Amino acid sequence: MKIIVPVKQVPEVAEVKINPETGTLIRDGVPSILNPFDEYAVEAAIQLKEAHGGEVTIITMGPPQAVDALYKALAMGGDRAIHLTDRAFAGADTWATAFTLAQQIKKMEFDMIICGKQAIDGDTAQVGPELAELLGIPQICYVRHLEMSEDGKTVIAHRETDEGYEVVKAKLPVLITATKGLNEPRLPNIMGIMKAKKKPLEVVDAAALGVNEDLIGLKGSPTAVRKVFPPEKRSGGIKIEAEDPKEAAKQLVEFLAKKGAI
Amino acid sequence: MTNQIRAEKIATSDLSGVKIVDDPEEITDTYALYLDDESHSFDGKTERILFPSTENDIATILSDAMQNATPVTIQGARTGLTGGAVPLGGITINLEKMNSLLYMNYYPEKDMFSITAQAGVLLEDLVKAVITKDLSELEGKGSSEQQDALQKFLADGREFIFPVDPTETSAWLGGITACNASGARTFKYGAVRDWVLRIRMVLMNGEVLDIRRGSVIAENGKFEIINSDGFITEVTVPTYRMPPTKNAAGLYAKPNMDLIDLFIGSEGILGVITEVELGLVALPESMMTVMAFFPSEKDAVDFVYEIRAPDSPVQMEFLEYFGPNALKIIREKASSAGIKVPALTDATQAIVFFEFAFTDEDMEEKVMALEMVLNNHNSSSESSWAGLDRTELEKMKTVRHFVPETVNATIAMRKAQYHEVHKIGTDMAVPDEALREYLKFYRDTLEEQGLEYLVWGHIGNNHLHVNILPRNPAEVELGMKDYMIFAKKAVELGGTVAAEHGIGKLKRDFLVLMYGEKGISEMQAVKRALDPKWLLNRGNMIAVPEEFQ
Repeated sequence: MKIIVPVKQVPEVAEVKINPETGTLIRDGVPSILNPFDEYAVEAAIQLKEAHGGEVTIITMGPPQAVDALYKALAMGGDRAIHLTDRAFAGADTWATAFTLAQQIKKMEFDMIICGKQAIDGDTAQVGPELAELLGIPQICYVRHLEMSEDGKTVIAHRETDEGYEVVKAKLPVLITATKGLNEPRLPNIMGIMKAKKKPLEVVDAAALGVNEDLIGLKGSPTAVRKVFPPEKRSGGIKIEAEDPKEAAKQLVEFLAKKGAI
Repeated sequence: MTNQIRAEKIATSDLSGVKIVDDPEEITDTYALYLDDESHSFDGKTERILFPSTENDIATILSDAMQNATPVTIQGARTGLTGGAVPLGGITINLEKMNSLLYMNYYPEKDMFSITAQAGVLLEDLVKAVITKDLSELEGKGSSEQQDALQKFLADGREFIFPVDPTETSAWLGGITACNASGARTFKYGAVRDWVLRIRMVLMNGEVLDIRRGSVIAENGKFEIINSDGFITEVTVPTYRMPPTKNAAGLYAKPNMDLIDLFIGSEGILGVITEVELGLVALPESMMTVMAFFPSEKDAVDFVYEIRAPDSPVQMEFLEYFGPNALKIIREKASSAGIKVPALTDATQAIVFFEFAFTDEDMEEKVMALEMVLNNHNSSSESSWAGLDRTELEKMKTVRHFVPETVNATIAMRKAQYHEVHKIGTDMAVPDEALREYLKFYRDTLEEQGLEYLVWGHIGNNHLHVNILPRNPAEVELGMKDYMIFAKKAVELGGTVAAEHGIGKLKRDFLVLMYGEKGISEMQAVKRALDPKWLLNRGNMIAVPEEFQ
């Protein structure tokens, strides 16, 4: 079984700050990591390969340093990696990103594509579904349980919904997006990390991909971010400090009434 | 080279920039934290807390105190574990307003950058400013060479760190220097002492020494400080021999020592450090952090011996250890925190946590060599947990932190039942060859007594923290006796009674074990030469002689 896992390198979210003047993310000094949801995708792919044989290809579109995210996925057990990197890819929205990934994937054989449900920086959860549309294959999103039929031709997936979960069956090839709980991503070990550095890693630029530059990167992005801003800080509550409990209760009632709570 | 240094008289201050708190109620109420440190072992008291903002303020406060014979306690962030910053009377000088980063220097012969900062700068702030190169505070400060050094630093593509990497980043620079702190990377890089290139300090008489490493070296066991009035203060270097270990016990003393080393680790008894210049190193391009799992303590210790040997194929940045009882905690907490460590099976009895730098060229060679050493001791690189990036490292740090966190929580619970119960944590280190014997001594003693305990810590430096968790007051008493027994044994094996926490007010008795009465009187002589009225940080390191009490 041939499985492709598209991944993204993201800034560690706990550290992200926004420049108040420009409204853009301050990335200087913020460490980059493999998107945590992608770890579930990588783990799922490796488990399928271990059970059914085959090959796992990790693919990312990103700047040169995004290679670290590929190494992490290779250290977990991916077999080979493809790094789409070119200045022309920069500034892509979800559409241009999915389009670029699709151009590469169209050249490849695959039975399944497994994505993380979303990246923790943009949180859009769009690239996976868009990719399935561009490739013309079925998609099952927010998957928390995954199994193969005995003949290996269909998957049965449990997909999370607001109310519970749905059990969905689909023929291969199919695109899955993985959510937390699908599995426990394995921890990399020394040997895995060393082997990762020796696994095949193909670097592909815009020319090699052979795409019209108007369809990729900033130019190929129909949407643009106008402004990024942190949510308004919640202001602190009030503290009632009257010594007499009756007086305190009175103040509380007045406050709640003013707020329309009672 | 000379053994002489000139002390500089600086302008007196009118103290208008000094915040002074002297209302007794305000001190015990609002400023209660300034009467305590992380040892929580002393009921501090002080007449007045002063917050100077310049070196001139400090000089004026000290010379006034000297005239009035008022004891003075110097305070940093109070993160110490021995009561060193806790005042027991007199006045207190807290350096929190002296918190500016000053400038950078560059030394081409060593290809080394340094950063100079005031004593009240928070270590965490310095660490962050250096790693992110967020140094706008330095623009326009210092000489033109220092401005050039800053620009060169900003343009340098490498990432830099203060290599010692003390764990307690809420400490301040003056404190880590005065107490010669250690850190995660002390195994490779040594203690703070090894990275202090220059200090400025105010002596008790209000005069200032500016000491650059390498410029004032003892001759015939003496230093001479030439005061501004021409009077020469002679300081005699103590003659005791320091242990060949990581050490934070007593004044530093070696025959041809550098004057700067006398003050680093002196716990504030000789003067007030106002400015520190710290060396920085470039981070290696690639670093692998690893937890390796062993079926027995013996296997883990044998692994440590082999991997840190002089001919070892892999030079470690640090080597940390978790023994069987610490592992129980890790196992329980990791599963409830949702961190699944597959290799941590029921058969695992010990963890060695380490880190090493590599390049693409030497990676395979190092990993294969490491694999062999691991295999020699019933472990393997396949069963390890390793990481190259921050998330993995953070996860490992979380796992490591489970140990002290659980110990502290357990003690807090027991304290609720018996007020006298407290954690007993050792800080001894022994020479390399004595590690096995010392570890066995710990075990034999504690197992026989049936005390609850665990062993973990800086095994690379033979500096293990034994934590005894007493269940009742009788066990506290037993544990305290053990502490003395462990200290004696460490000295017997050629080690130290205080590898990193220092002596402070809490461990003076242990220092006597190490250097004897003669050693203590030699330290007293140094103290008398620089602080004739015995006013600075009274009670730290050496007891106050009767005539001053």
